Parts: sequence; C-alpha cells; structure tokens
Amino acid sequence: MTQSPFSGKPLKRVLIVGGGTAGWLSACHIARKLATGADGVDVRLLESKDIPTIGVGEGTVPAIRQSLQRLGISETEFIRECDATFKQSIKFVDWMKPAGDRDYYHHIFDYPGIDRVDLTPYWLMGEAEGCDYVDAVSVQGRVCENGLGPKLMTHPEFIGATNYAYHLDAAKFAALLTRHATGKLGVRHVLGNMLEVRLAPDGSIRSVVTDEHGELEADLYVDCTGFSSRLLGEALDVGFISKNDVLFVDNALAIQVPYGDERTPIPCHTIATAQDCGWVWDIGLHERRGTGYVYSEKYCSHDRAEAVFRDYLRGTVGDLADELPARRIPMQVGYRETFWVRNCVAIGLAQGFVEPLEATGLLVFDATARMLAELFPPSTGSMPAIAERFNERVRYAWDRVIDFIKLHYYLSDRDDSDFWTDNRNPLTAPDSLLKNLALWREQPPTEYDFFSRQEIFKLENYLYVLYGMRFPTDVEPIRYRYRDREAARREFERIGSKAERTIRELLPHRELIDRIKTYGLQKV
Amino acid sequence: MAIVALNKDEHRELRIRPMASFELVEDAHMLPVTAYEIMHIGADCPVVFVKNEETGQFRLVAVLGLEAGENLYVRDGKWRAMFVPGVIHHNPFRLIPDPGEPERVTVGLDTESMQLQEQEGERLFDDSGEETGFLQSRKKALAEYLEHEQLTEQVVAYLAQQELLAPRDLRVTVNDDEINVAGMYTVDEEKLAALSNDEFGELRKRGLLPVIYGHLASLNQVRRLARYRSEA
Repeated sequence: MTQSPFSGKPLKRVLIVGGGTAGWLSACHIARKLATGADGVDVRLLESKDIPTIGVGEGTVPAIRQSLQRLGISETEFIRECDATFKQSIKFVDWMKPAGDRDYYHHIFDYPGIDRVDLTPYWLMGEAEGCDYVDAVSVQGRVCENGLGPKLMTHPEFIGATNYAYHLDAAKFAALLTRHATGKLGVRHVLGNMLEVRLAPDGSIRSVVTDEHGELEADLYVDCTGFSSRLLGEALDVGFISKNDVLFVDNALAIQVPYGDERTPIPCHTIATAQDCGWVWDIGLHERRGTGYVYSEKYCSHDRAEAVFRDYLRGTVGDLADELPARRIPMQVGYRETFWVRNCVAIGLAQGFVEPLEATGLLVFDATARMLAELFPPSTGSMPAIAERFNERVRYAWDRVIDFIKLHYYLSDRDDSDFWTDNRNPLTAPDSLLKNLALWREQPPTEYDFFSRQEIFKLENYLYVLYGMRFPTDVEPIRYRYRDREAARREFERIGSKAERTIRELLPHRELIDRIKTYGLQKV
Repeated sequence: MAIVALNKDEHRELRIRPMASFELVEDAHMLPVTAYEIMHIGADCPVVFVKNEETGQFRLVAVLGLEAGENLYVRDGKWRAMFVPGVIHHNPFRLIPDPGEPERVTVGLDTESMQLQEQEGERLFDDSGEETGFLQSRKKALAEYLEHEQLTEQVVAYLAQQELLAPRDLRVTVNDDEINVAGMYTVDEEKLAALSNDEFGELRKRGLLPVIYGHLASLNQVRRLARYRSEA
C-alpha cells in the first residue's frame, strides 16, 4: 500500500463567518458537496444579529440556474420567495455617442448562432444588411425589446426558449438559502457577534470568540464578513490590492422604486444607463424596481451624483424621484493579495469586488464558493497545495473580470467628461486587455482566446460587447477566408423568421411571472 | 359553441336527442379523460399526460389522432371505440360557473348543439316547469363527473409532485413513414420500479395503481392509431 503524500488530520469542521448571500451560498455549496451529519462535515455559520448585510446584488448570470439546481432549490420556490424575475440581457444605454436611431446595445445570454456557420465575420462584412449585431445573430434582443419572458408555462423548471438568469431580492435570497441550508442541508446556524479572532502560534486561526456562544473552533474558517474582511484582512493581515486606477467608480447610491401599479410591464433585462461620471442600474423585480447610481467620487461630488441619479428616475416616476430615500454605499474596488491563507478562505466582498456592471457580485461569490466546495481538502496536509491552486484560479478570475468590465469603458467614444476620457486612456487599461484588442482589430476573437474552462466571461460575452460598441475589426484584408456568404445569408434570414415566431409564442414578462406564482412550473 | 345557463322558462319546450353526437370532437386529436375512465378508454386508445399551455399543469388525455385536427376514432359520424368518454357523453350539457355566484357551478347548455330539438327527443322540463327524470339523471352524471375530474386533478398533481412523470414521444410507423408525436408525458417505469416499498405502498393506498397500470397498458394502443391512420 502506498502512503498518501500528505499527512495531517482530517478536515471536518467548517465555520463560516457572515450571514449575507456569500456566507449562505458558501454554506449551501459546501454542505451539498461534502454531506453533513454524523460521519460528514460539520458546517456552522455564524451570523451577527446586529450587522446588516449590504444586500443590493440583484442581478445574476445564467450559471445561477445550475447552482440552484445543484443545491436542490426548485425554480418555482425561488421565484415565489425571492421576488425574482427573469433576466435575458443587460441593455447598455448611452455607452456610446448616439449613432442613427439607436442609443443602446444588448448583451444577451443566448449564444450567437455559430453552429451552422460562424456569422460574426459575415456581419462585419455587411452581409446582414445594416442589422445590429445582436439581432443578426440571435432572436433574444428582440425578445427583450418586446418585453417578453424567456419561457412558456409548458417548459420545465430551469429550461427556456432562450437562455436566462434572474433578478432577485438579495435579502430574500439570503433568507431562502438560510432555510434551505439549515432545513435540508444540515448546516448549523449560530446567531451571535464575533468579538475576537484568536490565532495559533503558526499564524493560523485557532478560534473565533463570540458574545453568546463562547469560543468556536474549526478546521477551516470561511470569511464572508463583507468589505471589512475581519478574518483574512484584519486578523491575518492580508493586504488589499486596489484596482481603482483601472475601474474608477467607488460609490453606489441605491434607491428602491415602487411600481406605479401592479400591471406595469417589467423589462426582462437589466438596464445600465451611462452618465457623465458612472452609470445607473435599473432592475425590475416583481414587487419593485431596484436602482442605483455607481459613480466615481474622484470625478463627481456626492451631491451632484445624487442630483444626476434623481434626474434619471424622474424620467419614469416624476416628482416621486425626489422623495424616495437613498442609501450610499462606499465601495472598495479590487481584491485581496491572497484569498486563502492557512486555514482561512475569503468568499464574497471579503475576497474582492468590482462594480456590478455585469452582475459580477453574485457571479463571483457563487463561482468561488463552488470552487471551494469542489476543491475542499480532505485533510490539513493537502491544504497548502489546494490553497495555492485556489489563489491562482481566483486571482486569474478577478483579473479577467476586470479586463471585461474595463472593456465597456475603454471602447466608448464618449468625451463629455474627464471620467470618460480618462477611462479611454490606454494607460488606465490592463495590458492583457490591450493585447487582446490589438489582435481583435485584425480578426474576430475565437474560442482559443479564452482557454480556461472556468473563464467567467467567454467568447460570446466579448462578441456582444465588442460589436454592440461598434468595435472596428477590419476583415477586408482577410475577406478571402470567408466563402460561405450564401450560407450566412440564409442563416441571417432563418434567425429573422425565428425571431418573429418566438415573439408570437412568448408571454409578456410580468404575465409569465404571475402565472408561475399561481400555477408553478413542472420539474419535467 | 354558445354555452348558456340552463333555465326552466327559456328551455321549457326544449328536447334533446339523447344519443351522443360526435361532430364536436371530429377534429379533436386529444380529449380530457378522468382517472376513472382509464381502464375503459385505455383499451381503445393511448391515455397520456400533456401540459396545459396556459398553466403548465398536467392533464390526463386520450390520444385520438397523430396530429392536431385529426380524430381517427370518428368516422362517418360514428365512434370507433367501445367506450365513449364522459366529456363527449355529457354534451350538450356541461357545468359552468353560476352567473349569480361564480364560486358555485350550474348546468350549462350548448345552444348550438345538433342534439337540440323541438319535435322529438327527451324533454328537460315538464309543462309545469319541473325537471324531468331525464334531466335529473344527466345532472347527477355531471355532478359525479365533476367530482371525478377534481380527483383526477389531484391524482395527476400527485404523480407530478412525486416526479414519476417523464417526457416521452409516441413513435409510430405508418406506411413506412415514421411519425413522432411530441409533448407527451408518461409514468416513468424505471422510476416506478425504483420506488421504495413505502413509496410504492403509498401509491397503493391512494388507489393509484390501477390508474398507473391502466395508463401504461394503454400505450400499446398507439398501434391502433397507426392502423387507423393507414386505413384513412
């Protein structure tokens, strides 16, 4: 018999500190993957009764469907309990100077039609007759513009006519995850405040001291304490790498907006409208809208930001815009120098944060919580090697996320403020992004530009943003490569007629949600 | 179709040709049936689960044709099966929400039905406006059917909730052409076989075994559909 190369004691006790979305997602993923109970892993979550959660992450990406399914949460239950709606796209408004009659583009979730023939070069050669990129390659932009939901009542849970994610109420989502984790997955919920983090002589965490439950010990501690990062940042003294020189926004003003009446149509996409020093998110939940202005303090005073934001809201709710209470949230943009040190891992805001432009909050929490559950060390012996791997992967993920977010600013042609001109300055863009863009000027991106399987934003995400923002890939010199023009034209036509059919079949978004709340969806 | 609430003044003179008529279902490739009818109609045609397009909820239906608009069980105005489903049998009556009290049901009448007569057939009311024995027995049958429908809804919801239903296309070969009827669901035999004794006992206790096996056996009748189609 060969000896395990690692020695050490089994890793069976996990303590998660922090009861926001990141904490409960981590608890669910770990408990689901590793199994709890007498011979399983003991998962405890310490939640403070006194510290409120940030709770504004309301957007998701399609990977959330897989996570919900994996965790065993039914889609019907999720929609009923989280005030959730469907999300098929992010509509970027005013990110470019107006051209023609369009001041927006969609970053949709459906893959562009590339199975039969790769349409992108033909679109670049003008074969789609002036049609926007998104409408040339997919039906989903039109589904969104028509206010339709992504599925029919006859579709089973988690399956749609188009690809989709959700908008959700973060506090209600955390509550659902709490019930699921404690009721179904065997996670123990400990309510109390953390007073102190005690370290062992080797610098690892020995215990967490609480006000009501004494000293809590574990083999692995998960820091989900938000921006304050009380375990990894404070106790273990891991530094923070600011990315404010690349992504300038550092404050969010959030306002919840009521619907005029219960029949107000709900957009099936997030609306992200660029302003002179940032951008406004506008998300339609079932019961209310969640809106926020993300801006840079360096370029714009808080007062001016609030005035700009309320002006935006006035467009839909009139003078009510001046009465709604606003909450300001300062944001640290960047990530920790390392994410897993000895026996402590950070997930959520404690790990890193960038502006929520592409719903990166929940997305990265969920992806890294899952990574932690999948990589979870069987014993303390293998922990350093796994921590190293985790750190490398998560750092890579954050850097790629930052590249992608910066892309939205860097490609803009806006020049109405220093915020925009500085954003377009190559000195503020990561080299990795500049290198890619240099390549993509000569030919469209390919799958081989995105080699990691865990890549968070992939080819299709880049295509929609690049060509939604009229990025000038010059295919003229390589025109000879593209000889399937007839096939491409037929495909553009097929997508056009499929769009008409799809629009006839699908239900208005609000009606779909109402019906799901009334009847529920089937599992099959 | 024009359904109105039955009214003893308006419909005093009306007569009904009691024999079922099949014009109304000539084009119906599926008809709703109750769990109580499976054992009978299942010997004539496949009985499967389909989703209601409005609500996504499962319903139990008899499959009568291989595509929309085709009913292979009506030919020359005659019904080509042993059993006539209640939903046909009750014509021209049906239960509708009471116009006065929407929570209650009342008997409605399809005033465009070919079964309505003035000269011959069964009267609904006598000269003094009292219900005839014929109407009373039809009302009783309707009430019983409504109860069966409600129980069927519960049965179907239970099977769905236990995740025993699975999508299954009906495939038949007609004159060398393969025809695929999609959008149907059947009880998943593998899942049924994998149930624990307790879970299976629960099905038995709820009286669902005849429904499940009646449904599964009925699937063989797809060959009858193929034969009727090839003769058509």
